[in-house]
Amino acid sequence: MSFHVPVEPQNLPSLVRERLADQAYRTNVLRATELSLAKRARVVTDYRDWENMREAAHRIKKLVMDHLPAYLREFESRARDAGAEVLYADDAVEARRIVVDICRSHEAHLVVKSKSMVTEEIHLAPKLTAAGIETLETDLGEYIVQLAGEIPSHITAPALHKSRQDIGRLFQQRLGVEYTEDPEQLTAIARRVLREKFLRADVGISGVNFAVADTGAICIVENEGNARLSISLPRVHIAVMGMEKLLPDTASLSLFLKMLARSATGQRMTSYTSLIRGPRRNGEQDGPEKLYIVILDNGRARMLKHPELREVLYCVRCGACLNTCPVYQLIGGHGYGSVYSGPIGAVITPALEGWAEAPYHPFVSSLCGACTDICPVKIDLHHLLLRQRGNAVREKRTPSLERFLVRGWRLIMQSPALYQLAGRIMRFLAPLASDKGGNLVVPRWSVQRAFPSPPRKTFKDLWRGKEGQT
Amino acid sequence: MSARERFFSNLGADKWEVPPVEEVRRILAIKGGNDIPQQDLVQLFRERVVGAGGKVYNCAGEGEIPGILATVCREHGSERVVFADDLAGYRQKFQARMQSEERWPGETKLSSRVDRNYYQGRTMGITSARAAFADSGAILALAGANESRMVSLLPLVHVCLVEVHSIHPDLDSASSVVDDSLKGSGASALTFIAGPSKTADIEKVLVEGVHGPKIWVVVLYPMGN
Repeated sequence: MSFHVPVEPQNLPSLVRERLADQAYRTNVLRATELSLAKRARVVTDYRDWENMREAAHRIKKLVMDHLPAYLREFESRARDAGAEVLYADDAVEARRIVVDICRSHEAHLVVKSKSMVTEEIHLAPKLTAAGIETLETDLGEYIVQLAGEIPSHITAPALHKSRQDIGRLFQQRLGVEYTEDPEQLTAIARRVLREKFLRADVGISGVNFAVADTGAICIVENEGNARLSISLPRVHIAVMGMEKLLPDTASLSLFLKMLARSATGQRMTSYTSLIRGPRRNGEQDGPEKLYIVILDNGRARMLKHPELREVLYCVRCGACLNTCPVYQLIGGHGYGSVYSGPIGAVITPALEGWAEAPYHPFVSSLCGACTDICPVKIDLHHLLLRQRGNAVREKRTPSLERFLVRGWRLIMQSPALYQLAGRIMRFLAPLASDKGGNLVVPRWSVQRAFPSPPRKTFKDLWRGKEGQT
Repeated sequence: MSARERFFSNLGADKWEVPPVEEVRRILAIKGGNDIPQQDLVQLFRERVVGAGGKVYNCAGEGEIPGILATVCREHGSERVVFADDLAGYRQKFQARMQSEERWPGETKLSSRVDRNYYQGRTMGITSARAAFADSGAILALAGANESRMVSLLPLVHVCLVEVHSIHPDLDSASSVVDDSLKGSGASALTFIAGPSKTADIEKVLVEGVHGPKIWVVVLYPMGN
C-alpha cells in the first residue's frame, strides 16, 4: 500500500509508468481533483468580475516583481520595527543551516511544523530530524505523508492519493492504534497525538502565504488550526518564505485572499487566515517570544531575471492547475518525482533543480491550456511549458536522435523538392515497416502513439486526378 | 559581503523605490467593486457563516446574550467555559444564570487565568469579533492583552459575539480596520475565522474539529425584527 517516494525528478519516465499502472492511485487522484474543481466552480461565480480580478491580481504581482528589491526592503524594515528578525538564504543548504542554528540556539528538542511547500522544497524536516531535533508535520495530510515516508502529492491536499484503508493501516502500523477506516476516528487519533506534541513543542515552523510590505505582516492561510497552534504555542516561531510572496498592502491582500481559497479548495475563505506582525508584545497573553522570518532565493532571482520565466513567480500555490490538468489527473503528484507537480511544477522544477535533474518535466503536458485558463493570477502556463521545451532542446536535454530527426524534418519542410522526395521514399519503404493495423513501427515513438502509414496517393496526386475528371 | 548584501546583489538590487500607492489603487480598481447591497449585509453574512459550517444565533439585545450562551453550553455539554478577558461582564451574568437555573457541574474562567492544559475535555471558548465580513462569513479575532489566542483555538466549541454594525461587505472595504489593528500598539496576531477547524485530507471527506474547535457558533446582536 505504501511506497517510498524519493525526490527524483530525473526518473520521471519510469515514475509516470508506475503511476499509470496503479489503478487505485489513479482512482484516488481523479476523485479528489474532480471534487475540488466542482467546488471551485460553485464559488468563483460569487463575483461578476472574476476575470477582472484575475487581471488585477496578475498586474499586482507584476508590479511587485518589477520592484521586488524595494518591496523586500520595505517589508524587512516594517517587520523589524515590530520585533521580527529577518534573515536571508541564497539556497536550500543555507536556509536549512539557518533554521537548524536557530533551533539549536534555543535548545529545541521538539519542532512542530505546519504545511508549507517551501519547506518541502528545501527538505527541511528530514534535515532537522537528522540534526537530532524531533520534527513533526501537523497538517493531517502532511502528517500522514510523513508517517508513510513519502512526499506530498498535491500542493493543498498532500495525501489525496491515499485511500482511507491505506491511512487506517498506516496508523495501525506506525501509531499502534486499533485499525479503523473511519475518517472521523482517524482524525481524532491524529488530534490526540498531535495536541500533546503542540503543548510540548519548543519551536513552531510555518510557511508564508503572503507577506505584506507596508505593514511587515505575514499571512498564513489554513483550515485545520495546526498553523495557529504551531505559531502560537511554542516560544519560537520560524517562518520560511520564498521571496516572491510579497504584496504591496492589505488592500491587495484582500483581493488575493478572495481568490486563493476559492481556487484552492472551493471555499470562500478558509477557516483560519492569520496575520502575524512580530512576536508577542508586552502585555499580550500568548504568542512566541521570538519570530524569525527566513526569506529564500533558491533559484528565484534567476527566474526573476529571466524575461520568460519571471511570470511563474506570480504563483500563489493554490493547486488549481494541478486539479484541472488532464496529465496530473492521470499520474498524480508522484508521477513527477518532484516537490512541485502539475503544470506549475513542470515549468519551475527545471529552473529550481537544474536541467540535469529535471530534463523531462516540460514534456509532461498536453499543452491544452486548461492550466492557463484556471490560474487565478493568469500565468501563461501552457506557453511557458512550450518555452521550457525549447529550453530543454537548447540545453541538449532531449535524445540526440530526436534532435537529429527534427533537424532533418526542418530541412525537408523548407524545400518542396526535398519534401516530395522524402514522401516518395516514405511511401516506398512504408509497407516494409508497418504493423497489421497499417501503422508504421517507429522505435520508442510507436510504443505510446500511432504513426500512420503514408497513403499510397498524395493529396497532389488526388487533386491532379480530380482535374482530369472534370 | 553579508548574506543580506549577497541576496540583494543577486536580485540586481538598485535604488528603486516602492511604487506610489496610487499605482496599486489603479490596478486594484480593475477588479470592480462588490455587488452587495447594504440592506442585505446581515442576511448574507448569516448565510455565509452557515455555508462555512458555522451556526448562527440571533439576540435582540445584549441582555439576551447570557441566555444564548447558556443554551449553547447545555447543547454541547460544556464543562469548562473560558471567556476572553474583555467579556468579564458576560462571564458574571452567565455564571449567575447557570448557577440559578440548574446544578451545572462546570466552571467559568477568564482567559488570563488558565493555562493551555485547562482546555482539555469539553470546553467552550467565548470571544468577541473586532469586525465581520459578509462575503465570506468571516469574523476578525484580535488576540492580545484582552484575549488569549487559545480561547478561539483550543476548545471544542468556539462562540463568537458579533455586533451587526461591525459587519462589512468584504475585506476591501475594511482594510483600514486590519491595518489599525496590526500597526503601532495593536496586536501581534489577528485571525479571520470562517468556520470550525476542518480537514478533508482523508478521501476529501469533511471532518470538523481536527485540531481546533469542532463547533463554531456566531451570536449576532442586536437583531431587531
